[in-house]
Amino acid sequence: MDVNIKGFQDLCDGDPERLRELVELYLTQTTEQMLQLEKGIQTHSASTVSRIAHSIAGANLMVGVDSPVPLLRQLEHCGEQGEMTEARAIFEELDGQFKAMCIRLKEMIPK
Amino acid sequence: MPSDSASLRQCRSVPKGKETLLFVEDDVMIRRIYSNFLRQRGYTVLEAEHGRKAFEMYEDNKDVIQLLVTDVVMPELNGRQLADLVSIHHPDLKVLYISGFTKESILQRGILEAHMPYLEKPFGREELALRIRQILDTTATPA
Repeated sequence: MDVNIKGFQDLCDGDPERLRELVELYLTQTTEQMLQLEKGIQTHSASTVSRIAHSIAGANLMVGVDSPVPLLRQLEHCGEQGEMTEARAIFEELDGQFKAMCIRLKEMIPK
Repeated sequence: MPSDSASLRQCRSVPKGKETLLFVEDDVMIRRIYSNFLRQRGYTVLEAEHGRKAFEMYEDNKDVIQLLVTDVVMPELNGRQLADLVSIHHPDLKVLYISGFTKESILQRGILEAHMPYLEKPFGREELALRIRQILDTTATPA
């Protein structure tokens, strides 16, 4: 999976140590939010799904990771409409994408 | 995409400041990115992850805080409620609202009013710094 880390690099002004910290923070935070999203779907909490999907999308846009955003917007919409069956299918696709992205990002950050 | 030298020139042109800001944002990554940048530009930045903590921090530092920068949609106490609470005793405090929702959406929900300073996420760090300087340099904030 191709991941563009230009957004992360720009935010760190080229400092490798800050880049590593920012990517680690992104991975930790997004992993936690994905778990909250999954729990929201399991418990049919539409408001949680909508809120968390919106939040992850915002953070992704901030660091220039645009690829998961369309699925996150769909999930946000499902949450707003209470369409939880559809939300589950979208989440599974998003989860696969996110896990692949995590592996790629970990490979790309400075040790 | 700007070259490195263009980025450097742009960065140097971003206004600085010495004021103290209270930055309220529940997303830790976003809060850290913006707060650290504003510190690099000379500001003192107090950070809070939600409205209740922000109100406590404001009460403890009300003599030095000159601008409240707050996310709008947050659990429990939203940004507008926080600003309203603070303004009961400090009506002159300047406020900049930020949100991942469009301004139209925020207005439709009745959370903010059209004249209130607002930035829609995602925005550049430079854009934030410019807007902050603009608000701080304004003599009065509309009620």
